[in-house]
Amino acid sequence: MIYGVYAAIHNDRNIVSASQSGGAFTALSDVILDMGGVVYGCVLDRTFRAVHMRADNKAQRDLMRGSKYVQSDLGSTFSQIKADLAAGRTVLFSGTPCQTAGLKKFIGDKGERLYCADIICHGVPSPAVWKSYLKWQQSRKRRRITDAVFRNKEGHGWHSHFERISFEDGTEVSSNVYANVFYGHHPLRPSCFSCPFKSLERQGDITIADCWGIDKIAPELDDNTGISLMLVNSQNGQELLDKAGDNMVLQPIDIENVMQPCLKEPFPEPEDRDVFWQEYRTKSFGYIARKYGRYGADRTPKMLVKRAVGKIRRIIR
Amino acid sequence: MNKEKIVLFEKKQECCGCTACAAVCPAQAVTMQPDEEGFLYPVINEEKCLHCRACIGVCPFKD
Ligand SMILES: Cc1cc2nc3c(=O)[nH]c(=O)nc-3n(C[C@H](O)[C@H](O)[C@H](O)COP(=O)(O)OP(=O)(O)OC[C@H]3O[C@@H](n4cnc5c(N)ncnc54)[C@H](O)[C@@H]3O)c2cc1C
Ligand code: SF4
Ligand code: SF4
Ligand code: SF4
Repeated sequence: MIYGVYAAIHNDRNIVSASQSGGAFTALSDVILDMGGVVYGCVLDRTFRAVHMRADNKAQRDLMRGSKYVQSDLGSTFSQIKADLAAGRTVLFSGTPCQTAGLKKFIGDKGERLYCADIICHGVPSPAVWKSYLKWQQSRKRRRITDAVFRNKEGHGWHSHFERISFEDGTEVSSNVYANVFYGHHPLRPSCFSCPFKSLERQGDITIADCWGIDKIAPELDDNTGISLMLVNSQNGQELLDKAGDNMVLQPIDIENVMQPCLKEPFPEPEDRDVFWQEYRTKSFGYIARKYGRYGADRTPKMLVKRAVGKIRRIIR
Repeated sequence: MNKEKIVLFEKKQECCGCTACAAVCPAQAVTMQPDEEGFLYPVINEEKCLHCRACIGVCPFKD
């Protein structure tokens, strides 16, 4: 059952810029942190691996912003959440629908203080392919990578999908090679092709996503900086949104207008998925980049090199 | 107790890697290990396993 469907934009424009969509995750997690709770979500660690982490303050939480298009390593997250709940803490978990489903079954009836925000999920690529991609970018530049952003909204706008890789000498590469490989679906986890969670029967108390389709129904809201879609799926979710709502512009919308593919059914497994993995194992990543990532396919240069002003944050090992 | 070998999934499509089975196991018999594609899957240490089937019961891909 769906309690409500909203287009949501955080009132703080800086938060919208720093988030993947409209900053819904920040508004929700602020409520939990302000009441002394803890937040779990996905961050990129120092080696650019996607891992789930625990945050009990906003600085740690801010690292969870931005979509990492790779399967995150949960580590011992579920046991940590169980311990937090047993200690009486309020917990917000954010993750994929399948992670949320597993957590909820694991916690069972001890979850009165557990809130879950699941994403609408396209599917998760292999961490190995992400690592190979970064190594390839690093060897082309012969420089160490210092930062990686999967979908650089600031540089290209919310509607587009380019990754941004930053290097130790201050330069940046803007590329859609990884994005193209992702959207080809070859590197997705096998379970994503038989995913039972691609429906309106949601796992989270609230579902957060990109509000694709808003440009058709409320174009005045869409200035290409990012809009969240929020589905409220439970009484707990409604209570959380009631507290978070003051910090966002919320516009009720009709679900029919924002039904994206990932709310309906899984993608079919590519017929040549085996060929991809065979080639991934035996050929260089440059070959994968050309064949599956459209690297060098277009006449306009795909790699735009820019001077970066950002400071060095992470060093790849 | 039935000592039949515990099988968490027949095909890879049946496991999303959520770690619930590893978290629930009372004997710490389940560890998440990468396959040749780099995805984590649960692997049961037969010597530690108590055959309690808690891992099967908690799996969200078996509903
Ligand atoms: C792999 C993946 C696929 C997605 N597919 C779709 C889609 O098909 N359609 C759609 O509308 N939206 C999709 N999204 C969601 C969307 O990109 C935004 O993450 C979402 O709208 C939240 O935006 P925000 O501005 O509220 O949050 P932000 O502040 O940007 O927060 C990002 C949130 O995503 C979580 N997160 C980031 N990476 C991962 C990860 N690898 N695994 C689990 N959780 C993660 C963080 O914990 C955090 O809660 C996907 C996200 C991911 C990570
Ligand atoms: S598509 Fe389904 S199985 Fe794959 S990560 Fe998303 S929720 Fe999990
Ligand atoms: S059957 Fe019980 S002891 Fe064996 S792996 Fe599963 S949860 Fe652990
Ligand atoms: S609980 Fe099920 S889906 Fe989750 S990791 Fe274990 S076997 Fe895989």
